[in-house]
Amino acid sequence: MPRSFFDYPDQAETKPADDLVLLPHWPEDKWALLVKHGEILGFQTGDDVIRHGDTDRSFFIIIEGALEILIPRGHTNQLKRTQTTEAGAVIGEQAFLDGKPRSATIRALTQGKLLRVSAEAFDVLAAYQPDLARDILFDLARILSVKLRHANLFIAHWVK
Amino acid sequence: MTNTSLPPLPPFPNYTQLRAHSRIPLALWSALRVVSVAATLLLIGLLLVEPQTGLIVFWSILVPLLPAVFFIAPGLWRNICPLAALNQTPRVFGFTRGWTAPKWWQEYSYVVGFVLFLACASSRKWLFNDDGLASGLLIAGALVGAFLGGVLFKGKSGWCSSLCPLYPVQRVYNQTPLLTLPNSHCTPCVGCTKNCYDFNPGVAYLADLYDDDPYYSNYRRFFVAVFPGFVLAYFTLPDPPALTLASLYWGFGMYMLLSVGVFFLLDIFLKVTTNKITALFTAVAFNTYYWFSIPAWLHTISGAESQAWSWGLRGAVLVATGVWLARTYAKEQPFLQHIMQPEETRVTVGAARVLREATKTGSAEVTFLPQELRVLVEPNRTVLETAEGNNLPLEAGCRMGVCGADPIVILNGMENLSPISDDERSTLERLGLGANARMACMCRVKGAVSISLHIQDAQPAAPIASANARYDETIKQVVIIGNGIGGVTAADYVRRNHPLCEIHLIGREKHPLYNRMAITRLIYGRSAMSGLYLQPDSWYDERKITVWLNTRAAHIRPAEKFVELATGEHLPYDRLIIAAGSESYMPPITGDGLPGIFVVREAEDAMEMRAYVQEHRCRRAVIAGGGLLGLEAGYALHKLGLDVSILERSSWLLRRQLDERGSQFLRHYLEGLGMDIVTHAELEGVTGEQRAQTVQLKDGRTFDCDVLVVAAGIQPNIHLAHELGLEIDRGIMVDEHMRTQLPEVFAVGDAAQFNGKVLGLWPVAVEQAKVAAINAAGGDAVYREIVPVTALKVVGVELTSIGRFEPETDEEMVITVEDTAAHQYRKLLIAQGKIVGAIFLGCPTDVPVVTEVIKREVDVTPHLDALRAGEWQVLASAV
Repeated sequence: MPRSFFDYPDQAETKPADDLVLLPHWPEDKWALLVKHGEILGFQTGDDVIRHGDTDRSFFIIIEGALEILIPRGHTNQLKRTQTTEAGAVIGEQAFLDGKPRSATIRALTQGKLLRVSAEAFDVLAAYQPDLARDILFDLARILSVKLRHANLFIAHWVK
Repeated sequence: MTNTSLPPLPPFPNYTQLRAHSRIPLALWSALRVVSVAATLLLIGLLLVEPQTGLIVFWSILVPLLPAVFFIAPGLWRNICPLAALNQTPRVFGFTRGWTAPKWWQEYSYVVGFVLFLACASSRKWLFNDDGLASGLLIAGALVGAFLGGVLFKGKSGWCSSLCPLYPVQRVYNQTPLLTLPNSHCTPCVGCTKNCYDFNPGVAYLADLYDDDPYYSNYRRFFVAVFPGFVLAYFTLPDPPALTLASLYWGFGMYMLLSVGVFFLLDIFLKVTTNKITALFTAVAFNTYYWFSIPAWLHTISGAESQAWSWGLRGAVLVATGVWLARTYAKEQPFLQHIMQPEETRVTVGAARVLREATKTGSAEVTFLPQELRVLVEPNRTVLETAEGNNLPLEAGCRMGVCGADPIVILNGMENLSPISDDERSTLERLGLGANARMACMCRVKGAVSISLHIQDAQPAAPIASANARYDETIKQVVIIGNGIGGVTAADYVRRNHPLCEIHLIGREKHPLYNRMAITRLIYGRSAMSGLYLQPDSWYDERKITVWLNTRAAHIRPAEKFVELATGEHLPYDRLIIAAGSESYMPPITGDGLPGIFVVREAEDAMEMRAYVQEHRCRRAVIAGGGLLGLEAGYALHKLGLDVSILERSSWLLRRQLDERGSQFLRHYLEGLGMDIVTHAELEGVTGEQRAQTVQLKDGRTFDCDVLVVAAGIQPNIHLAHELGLEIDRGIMVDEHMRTQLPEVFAVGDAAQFNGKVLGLWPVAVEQAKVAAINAAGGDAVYREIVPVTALKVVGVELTSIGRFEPETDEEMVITVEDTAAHQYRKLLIAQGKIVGAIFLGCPTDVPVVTEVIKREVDVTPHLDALRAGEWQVLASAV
């Protein structure tokens, strides 16, 4: 079942799954290098950090603050909140990898900051530090694979 | 207490989030629990001492209310239930064993609970309804069971959320509470129960239905499937002794079997989710219960029959159930969307800390409108670099405030930007932009600033002041050949200095002034010329300048003083300014003329190359020339997806801008991007059938290619000057007034040669054009040579090269500082105590201060130690 509905505080197994942690073994200096190649963006309550339909090819790591994920629903395509997300979360990695338009709008619930790594910045990082770029790509792909496996299990279980 | 600054509740809030929004203090719940336990003990006493009254109070008045409470405000019962109060007592007073329930208990306690419920409720008909002792013992037994469960097991896993016979009924009725009251028991939650209602009331039942373990959800489906049949049996089967006990239980069994059968028939044949059917069965059970119990209950409390009240209450139950059903159905979709969403990717706590610390370095917020993008930048970064880093629609040009490619409007915080320079001011004047405009490349950020990229928001420039300018009224016509930056600047300054004369500007290309430094973007970008024009369409008209685009100057007749256009028209002049620029130098190579060979000088060259690459599906490009233009063209083709090889004659790239060591840094980066760099490679020629296919070098090496770009430098356009008999070396020779041998003819920019140099740089052309224009209008201005600054911006490389960088005598001193890990390389050339040249690779923040020191010819001898240590910002105190 989804852990997010029943995040019991004392149970280790209900904490964010280890297999969804990006680059768990990276030392701090590598993160510092990634920061150097990215951009730090600020946001205010109500700002749209990502807009549905945009083709901006970047992924983000939330540094401070909370945001909501809104997906258009129904005939009017009205944006409805599906979940919230906060510091430490990685968002937008799918559009970063496939270059497709954004599937959701991500709007700030509080003020805060995030790190943005665009495809262009990633290219530069890859030219200077191919090892880091390889780490990131492999790990993003691994996480995507984990999610795909979860989705497959879910579908296999519930498709009537 | 309610706190208005709390974040809004998520769609399915848990009890801690609900508690934060609740106004009911926990102490009130504790007090109510004491009352409820005491009342239950009194009730047991009553059942034993006054069974008649006790039975009516319990079975006929209180019990019929419970389903409604479970349905409307289940949290109320979960918080004040006397069984729960006793169950939690060992925990509150610290004597619970707090065991985790064994697996079999976790799985089957619910089953045992509903079997107990079915057994007890069916037995009311012959035992409990009429027997005070049995009922009292039943309640007392439940109290003991709840208490023992609390002594042994942690949280509510010993009774309330496991074995309690009322628990299965609560779970079906409490799916979608009308009134959600947060759990007041669990402080803190110990995670005792799967899909706990007390933890997350809104989704607990759906979570049960969609549980990964099919047995777990099937037990729950089974209970709701039998439930309506059970309720109907209770109210329609006769009470013993009209039936034997065996017949009674057989009857219950048949009703439940029928109910289960209908449930599974519907589940199989209706194309709806199971939740739709479980909710429907719950609604049927609830209405059946009250259909039969309302008249009796009314009779008990009022002592009389009331048809009106009965029907009214039955109707109310039906309406409430309809609302409940709709709400239960409505939430399934968001629930499914939520659980089907991929789980969140996160970084470790350590990584999050590094990220937080990285943002505490005194960065300033730059806000771009209308995008509403807020970027936190390190001090001294330019607005242009910031915009480029964030893919904002701002074109880069010379990066020196001269070309006018990147105007912006400062909405707030002008004082937090580096001050405006003379070059930048005159560019803004040329663009007709007023006090709130700046050139993005020249704005170094010092503090918070907000910026609009809509240049329409700019204030207009002050009217061009010409009243004080010295001009010669006998000059009636000025003709300018060339519509590049030199020609346009010359036209602009002639007009500023001479309000009356006619100005004709002849441009060979089809386009008004455009950003020539960005033309390689035409190769890989999809927006063609859009964004590359440097001035509004009205620019020429506003200045009464007659522009001749797509027009060639064929001849100049100095004796008659007119320019003959290739269209046959004649343009007489009193003064002539030649700003014809330069063209690409094409070295003699074999195969010249084959399709697929390009130079990159004009916008058309770049656009034709893009078209050719598409038409012939080109895969490989060879660039002959490792200078600025060659690298930019190579990068553009790389971005377009071609495999690129760059051939350089000498032993390193950018020979005019970089020393060998600096070039190694650059080469490492370009090779990292995937470009192939070949040095000591001199082009011999090209071969191919009908189009370029193989490039040959003089040493015999060959390279496959679909496109060959020759970037071997420029040669000034001097054909017209030849006719005039002007003195020509590489370019047209001019004096410090930019005058040629003919006093009424001037030459500027790439076409002109001053002091032995043709530099081919925009700032030089602009400066020379200003001087020529003032002199052509009858004024007197002198050109002072400027230190050439060049900047390369292939994405990811920030290179600035100023002046010369190799020592010419032993007395000249070189300081280099490099940081391989950070990909930074800096070099200073110092002659007689003054910096005369510098290279900056990957460290743009030092550029402005060093440029200023070079311009002002500051003696840096006192700072040599600091410079050697790499602390170049000490120079800020010297300027």
